[in-house]
Amino acid sequence: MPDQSERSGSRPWYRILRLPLPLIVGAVLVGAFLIVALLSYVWTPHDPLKLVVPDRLLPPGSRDYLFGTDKFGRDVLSQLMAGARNSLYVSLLSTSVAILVGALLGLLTAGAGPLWRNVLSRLIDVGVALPGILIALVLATSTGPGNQAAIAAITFWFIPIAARVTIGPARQILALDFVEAAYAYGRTKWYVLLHHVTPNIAPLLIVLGSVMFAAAILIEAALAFLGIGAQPPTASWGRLLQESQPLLEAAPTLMFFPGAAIVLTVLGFNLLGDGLRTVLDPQQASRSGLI
Amino acid sequence: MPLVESRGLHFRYPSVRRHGAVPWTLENLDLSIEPGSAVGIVGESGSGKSTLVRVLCGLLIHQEGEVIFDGRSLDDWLSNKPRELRKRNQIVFQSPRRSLDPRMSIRRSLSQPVRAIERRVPTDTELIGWLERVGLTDEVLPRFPHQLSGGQLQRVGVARALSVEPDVLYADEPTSALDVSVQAQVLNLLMNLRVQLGLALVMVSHDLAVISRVAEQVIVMKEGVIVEAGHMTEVLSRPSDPYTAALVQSARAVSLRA
Amino acid sequence: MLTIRDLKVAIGRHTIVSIERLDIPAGTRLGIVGESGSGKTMTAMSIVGLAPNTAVVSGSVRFNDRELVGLNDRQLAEVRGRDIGVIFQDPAKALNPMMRIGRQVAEAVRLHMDLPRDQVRERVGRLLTRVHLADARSLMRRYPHQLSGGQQQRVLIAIAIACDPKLLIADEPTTALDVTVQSGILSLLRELSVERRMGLLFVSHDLGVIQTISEVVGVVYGGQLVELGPVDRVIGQGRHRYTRALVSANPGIADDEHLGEVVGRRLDVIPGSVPALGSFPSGCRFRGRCSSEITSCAQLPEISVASDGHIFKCWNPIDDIAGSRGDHRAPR
Repeated sequence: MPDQSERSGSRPWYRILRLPLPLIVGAVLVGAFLIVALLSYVWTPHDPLKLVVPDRLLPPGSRDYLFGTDKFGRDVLSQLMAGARNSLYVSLLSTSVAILVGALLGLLTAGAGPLWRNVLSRLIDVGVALPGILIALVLATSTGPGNQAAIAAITFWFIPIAARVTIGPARQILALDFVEAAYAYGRTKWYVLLHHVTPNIAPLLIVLGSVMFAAAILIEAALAFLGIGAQPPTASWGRLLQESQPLLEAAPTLMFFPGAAIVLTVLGFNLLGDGLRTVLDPQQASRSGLI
Repeated sequence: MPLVESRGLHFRYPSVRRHGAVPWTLENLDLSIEPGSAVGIVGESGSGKSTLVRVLCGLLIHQEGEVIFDGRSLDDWLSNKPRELRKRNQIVFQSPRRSLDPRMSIRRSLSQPVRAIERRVPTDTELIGWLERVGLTDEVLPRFPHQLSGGQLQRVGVARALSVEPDVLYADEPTSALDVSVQAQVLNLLMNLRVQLGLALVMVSHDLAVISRVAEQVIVMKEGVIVEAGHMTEVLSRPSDPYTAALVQSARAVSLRA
Repeated sequence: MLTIRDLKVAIGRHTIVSIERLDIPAGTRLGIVGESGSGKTMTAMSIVGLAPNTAVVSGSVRFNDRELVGLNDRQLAEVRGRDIGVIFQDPAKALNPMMRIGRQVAEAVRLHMDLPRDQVRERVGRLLTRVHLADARSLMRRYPHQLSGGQQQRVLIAIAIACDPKLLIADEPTTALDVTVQSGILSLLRELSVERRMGLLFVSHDLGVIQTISEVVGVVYGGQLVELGPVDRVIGQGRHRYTRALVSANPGIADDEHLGEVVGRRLDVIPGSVPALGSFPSGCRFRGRCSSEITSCAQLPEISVASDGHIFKCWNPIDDIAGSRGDHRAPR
């Protein structure tokens, strides 16, 4: 049934694009994050790593330093921008690999015969049950801490989750008549998984991607905070938080800025995921009961 | 010579449980379908009628007995000429909405069988010809399933199945998801096409009224077994099996008397 | 018992039900027939004042001199629990899967009257026996999934009649059931209706079923009651073009001696399909699919009276007597 409010004219101004509000807010926040992160590759107000000892612990709004400086006199704004870059790098790599591998694993499981499906399902369940933070610790101790350890930990953490989320919807689609019709005109299981199932679960994967991205940003920050992730001098939101901890009373804003950056970015990706869910779903999927 | 024949056919769905505990879904079925005939398979839910057509056209593999299509066993067809088997056996499904991929345009869905079986892309003239055969126009080609009505989608499903010019068209409850007024359109279409193209029509239905209008031969199924088979008029007017008699009586009790 | 005047139900901008005038005497078995999207369920529900919250209802529905339009949710729930019982298409979804049958029926009994435990139990047993469920004792201890679809529907009927309703609404109650089970449920409903003088409002897409169960039938198309009358007159001598077309599109099962003649014979069709909500033509809603349109059809048809209790809304109706099955056949 068509949404009445969309046809009957009076729409709040922000509905002009006919898009749900969460999607717009999410897209703006995510857009800002991406611009800042990409911009940091070519320009930051100062060199984020340059120590200017006389200028240390300047409050926000000081001349030349919009967000102030830290205890070594490094520009906070520049460090935040570089931290965004690090978040983007770690999260993008880990999330996309996890979704790609996880979805493939999920599709294989859904398409397998009853025996293999059960075996793979149980293995994936075990994977979901593994505590991700312990994997990260093990990786960090065996390969040494750093971004690589964070990326590997997040990827392994997310692969079984992505697989688990894929199996159910993929099996629902495999049970539909058009799949049987495809077999009836001689398509193989591989063709069906690739050309019928994948497009139909793509919206789900996109939503999953944005939610996982949000989680990855949080985990990256957490790992850096714990000293397992990004190592000095690499700028990372988690490390900025950790370094600001002893100075909580002397310079509270040092904690505020990376904290706010994390909250806004994570919120942005979650809202985006939420909005995408409603936008990608309705016309085709929900009407026929898919997904 | 019959086009499709089964002898001592047994089928059960694959299950992780070892054999023995799993009961047969289809048990010891013997039947034959002549070229160009109209056969109705009637039965209630759980009778195995839908499973039967999937076994007959080689979508499900039976465990015991044999199915013979055009003089050769299905195993033979599947291992030596699978594409020809697909080409000559096509199927139309119950739910028109579920039988077309919601994310494929009608053009793409309709091209699929020829692309898969004949390994070529059908021309526009061919596509339009198939659509005209089922009473549709080229207007629907760029559309997506959610933009069409149930009746139109079922026509697309029929057009798709007939695009490879099969010898047998299996129709699994092709009208039970449709309104009465649209059901009449689709039944007429199937009857017309059967005569025009000379194909055998095997229609599965729970609705004896529908079967009585379409099928010359009827197979009555119950719990995976054929309880009666023969000429439709004889089976309906002089059922020899008590279950068939009960079925006919109940169906008559609720069928429209105008 | 039920008196309806100028009932209009709208959702958003679309009027989905409109009935000018309808009186249903107590104990009548009324069938409402229509295709999917015709608004038959909505029509049935609004007739008894049970349109969903999102709908805007105007006009008047009086049930035993009580106005139902404008009652709040609590008052409606009270009417529903006491005077109106409802059964649905899918019995498996209407029963609580986690609760034993006995308790589900007992709850319906207790809702209606305050009885000691053993009397409730006895009444539950009697209700289950009344709907022809054998071995009520052991049935009460079972869970819904252990019952067949027909048994589940019988349990729902027992729950619905637990409070001795004056009206039972049945929304496609046999559509999900096998045909051999279907006729049993239909005769049970007829029996109960006669025995308790309980009105029955039966909604179905299946004309044959409607013919079997009802005394009076209403034909719904595009949210409008296009014809209403005694079942034999409406099905045998319907005046509205849509009614007749619907009857002749129905395959039916011929008599034994005619079986051979009709096999392979093409059915009469109604061209096109039911338009989506909100895209019906103005005037008569059957316009565009009707084979006998005249210019007046662009205006909303008024109510015509065919005979006592038989009304229809058609500008170019089929003649009363000459109305054979041939003159409305769609060109093909």
